[in-house]
Amino acid sequence: MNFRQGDVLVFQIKKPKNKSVSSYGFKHKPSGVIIEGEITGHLHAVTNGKLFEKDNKLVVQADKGCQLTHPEHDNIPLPQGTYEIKIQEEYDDSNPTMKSKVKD
Amino acid sequence: MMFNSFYGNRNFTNDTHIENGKITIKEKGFKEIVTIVDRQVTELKIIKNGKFTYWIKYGEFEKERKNGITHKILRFKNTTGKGKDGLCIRKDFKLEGYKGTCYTFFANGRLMWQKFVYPNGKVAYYARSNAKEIIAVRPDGTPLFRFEGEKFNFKGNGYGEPLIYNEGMYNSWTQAQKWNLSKTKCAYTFYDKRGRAKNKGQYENNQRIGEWTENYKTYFFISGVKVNKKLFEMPSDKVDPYRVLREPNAQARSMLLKKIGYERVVKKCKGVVIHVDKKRKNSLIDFPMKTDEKHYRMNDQYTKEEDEYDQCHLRILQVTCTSTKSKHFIRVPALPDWNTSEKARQGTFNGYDKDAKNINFERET
Repeated sequence: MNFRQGDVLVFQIKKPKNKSVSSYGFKHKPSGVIIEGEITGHLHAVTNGKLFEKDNKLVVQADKGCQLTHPEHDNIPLPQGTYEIKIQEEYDDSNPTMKSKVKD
Repeated sequence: MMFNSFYGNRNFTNDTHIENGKITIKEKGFKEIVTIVDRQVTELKIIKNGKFTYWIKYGEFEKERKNGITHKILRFKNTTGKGKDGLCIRKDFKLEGYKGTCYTFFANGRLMWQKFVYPNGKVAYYARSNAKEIIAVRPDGTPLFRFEGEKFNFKGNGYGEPLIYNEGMYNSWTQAQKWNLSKTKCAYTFYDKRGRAKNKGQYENNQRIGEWTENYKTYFFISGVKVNKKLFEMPSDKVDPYRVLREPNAQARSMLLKKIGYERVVKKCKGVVIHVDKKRKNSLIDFPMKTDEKHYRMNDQYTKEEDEYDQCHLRILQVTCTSTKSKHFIRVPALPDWNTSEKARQGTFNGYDKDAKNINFERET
């Protein structure tokens, strides 16, 4: 199950039930803030769920009632589960990787 | 809910062996009395330091008291004992610092109107559910605020209360956020005691637009982006359309697109629309524009001519946000594999892997 809120992409991933996200070396991000808009300061954030980060990779452990929030976009309820979060990318030929995250 | 939690906390079930009677739980300065009739909990009272703080009579009312005085009453529908019908909620609170009582009237569970009355009998505001304007006054009759909008949101504040007023939720909230205003289209003005606009602003499609005042200071917004007065007041035909293509920030690009106009940007920058996705309101446009920066090659499989075309053109995917309805420009490769709006859109999700499977989203906002 995948979701998109603006430039934030949410992909459901499978994780063994007996292993926690932190056991893979991910650190809990208590603020729940996925990304902050450079210009508006508006936040994409997670409520009723735990956000984890490792090497710029974001994972959400969604509990009951988990939601993806943003002031300008409709909230997205996330069913219980584990999700990987990515940011939409645009083509950038000045970058050796040929892409860069969409800045907003 | 209250009864379930009562039993749940004490390992009771609804099928308790108590058929009729009262259970009293006493702790220091705290007393809880539950009345049971025919194995059904009918009443619950909570008394703290000798004063009622909470009292619910199933099918009749729910009362909350502070310092022995009732400050909120919720009445249930007479005939069924469930839901709301009639003048159901009476609650005491402060409206922008002025004490008063709020009355909320329902019809078959639907909120019909709400009014706030000061102790001197003056009505602060009377808001109908289909109102397009709400005007409020202070106890002395001077204006307090004015809302205009498509509709007002009575769905409930952060505590689940059907109030358009939200004060007390978060200290960091702006004055607009204290009110359950529908951000689809609304404007608000808060007046000081001298009748001057202290705070005012307007929303369209969840974004701040136009002139805003916060603590008498004026700001300008286009598509949710704060801009300076010069740009805000500049006629759109005076703004260089190439600014849109040079702007690295997607939100700022969107703001400039709104200011200048999408059609004008495409025309003035000699854009060629190569594909339109009518369903998603997206399009793919090639702009002849040589990039000055160092150019890396996308993939060795493209011919020299294809690569040169990519170097001399900006291929832009124009997308329309479902929430804000704003148009956004996202750069995509000007190469043969990315020649439809949907293919290019998928590229923004899969890192421009042309062999990747399409990603479908359960919900996009």
